[in-house]
Amino acid sequence: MKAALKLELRRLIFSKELYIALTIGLALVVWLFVYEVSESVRFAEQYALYGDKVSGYLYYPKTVFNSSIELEYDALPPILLYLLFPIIAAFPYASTYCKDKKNGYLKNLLVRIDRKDCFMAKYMVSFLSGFFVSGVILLSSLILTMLVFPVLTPEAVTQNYYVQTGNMWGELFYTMPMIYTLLYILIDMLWCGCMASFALLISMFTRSAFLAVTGSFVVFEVLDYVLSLFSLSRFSPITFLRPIQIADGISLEIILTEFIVFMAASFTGFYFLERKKDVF
Amino acid sequence: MILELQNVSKEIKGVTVLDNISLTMQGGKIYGFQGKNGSGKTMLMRLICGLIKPSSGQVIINGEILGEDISFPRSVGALIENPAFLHEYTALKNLRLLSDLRDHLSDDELKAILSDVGLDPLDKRKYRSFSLGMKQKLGIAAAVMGEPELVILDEPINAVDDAGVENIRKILSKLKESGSLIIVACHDREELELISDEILKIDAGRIVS
Repeated sequence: MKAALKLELRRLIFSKELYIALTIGLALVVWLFVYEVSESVRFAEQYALYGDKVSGYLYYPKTVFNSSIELEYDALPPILLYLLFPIIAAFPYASTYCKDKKNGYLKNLLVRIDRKDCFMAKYMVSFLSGFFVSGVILLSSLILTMLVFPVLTPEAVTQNYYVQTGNMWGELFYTMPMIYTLLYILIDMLWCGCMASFALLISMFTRSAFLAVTGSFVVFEVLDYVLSLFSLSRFSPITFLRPIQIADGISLEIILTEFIVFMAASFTGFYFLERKKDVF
Repeated sequence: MILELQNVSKEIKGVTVLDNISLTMQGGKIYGFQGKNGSGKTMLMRLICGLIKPSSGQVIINGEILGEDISFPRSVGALIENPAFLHEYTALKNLRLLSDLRDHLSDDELKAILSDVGLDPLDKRKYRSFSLGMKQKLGIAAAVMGEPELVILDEPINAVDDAGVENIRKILSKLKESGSLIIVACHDREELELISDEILKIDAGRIVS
């Protein structure tokens, strides 16, 4: 098991796909950062010129808790990032199983290591790849934002924040915002691991690396669309993964229950069913 | 090493690809499998490696039933169909990665194996830039590294130059002397007769002679 895990981890760490996924994610982080800084500068300049001339013109500075990619609402980069998370999470590693099946490398592995070890290692590394990539992207945004913007405790009365007090952990956000942000990043990292593992489940049905990576994206997007038709967006991972909670009624129970269901489905399919199939 | 196949059959989507095969093979010998395309040679090799399961019958290796007692032969090296390696690594690095899974050979041992098959151990080129013949040689190197008890080679001389074929003969002869059981499938009857102690002909999934 240790040897199989070591090999698969090495394949992940030295794969160009990992760095492509990180580059895409970090490009969105930098894009948002530049946008936030320029918006703040523009706003400060406007305030210097006209602030004292307009009644009720309150200047409340941008802070870490409404400028990082997790907590910004209406800019394009966070929308794109959370939309593309299923692809970004699956891209670094989840397609290797398809490639191994297609080019025959899987045979090289299965005559040297036990099937259980081989499939468990692939499942674990797939989860870790999504977990790691999303963590790097989200934490980079938080750290980058903290370099420039103040870490002010949010005040609901300013209406500058998108998390509502009635939301899940709403009170935590307005009292200990850093804890809230880090906890939500952890949820996102776990879910991105789950999305990458789900791509392995899809790779059971195809030898195309492209379909394995995009399949997970399509499933989560279709699920999001269907649930939104029935006003059940709070059950959609694409929706509830955004820490600003763009749907009402999101709860930790929903997030964890769905996490367990998706993980169980991918683990059962990949580890218990795919492992027993003939390898040609 | 004793390998027994007892009434082994394999059906895929209703088509019988291996039909009631029974045979016993022992270490220190080279068995040549001959048969036309689609006769079942490669399928039989996959089955012996534990990559596919028989629909009926048993494969017994040194008294252990494949699929029940063991999921794959404890000491096997195989080249089945096309060689497959990681494109972004050199030949030595690819062997190192596979060796770390089971054999744990030293760099010197791996370099010696590469030299034996006619590849330059210090070649810095990545696998993706290898010619077909070089890929085949690397496939053979991976199959024989660590001197496994059971060696399975499917069309090993495909795309290999004359010098390479001579190297392969020497390697197989050395493995045979060390007691390995070697199974070779080859469409070239002359080559098969030259290297094999026993030739088995397969037709439509059955051993016919």
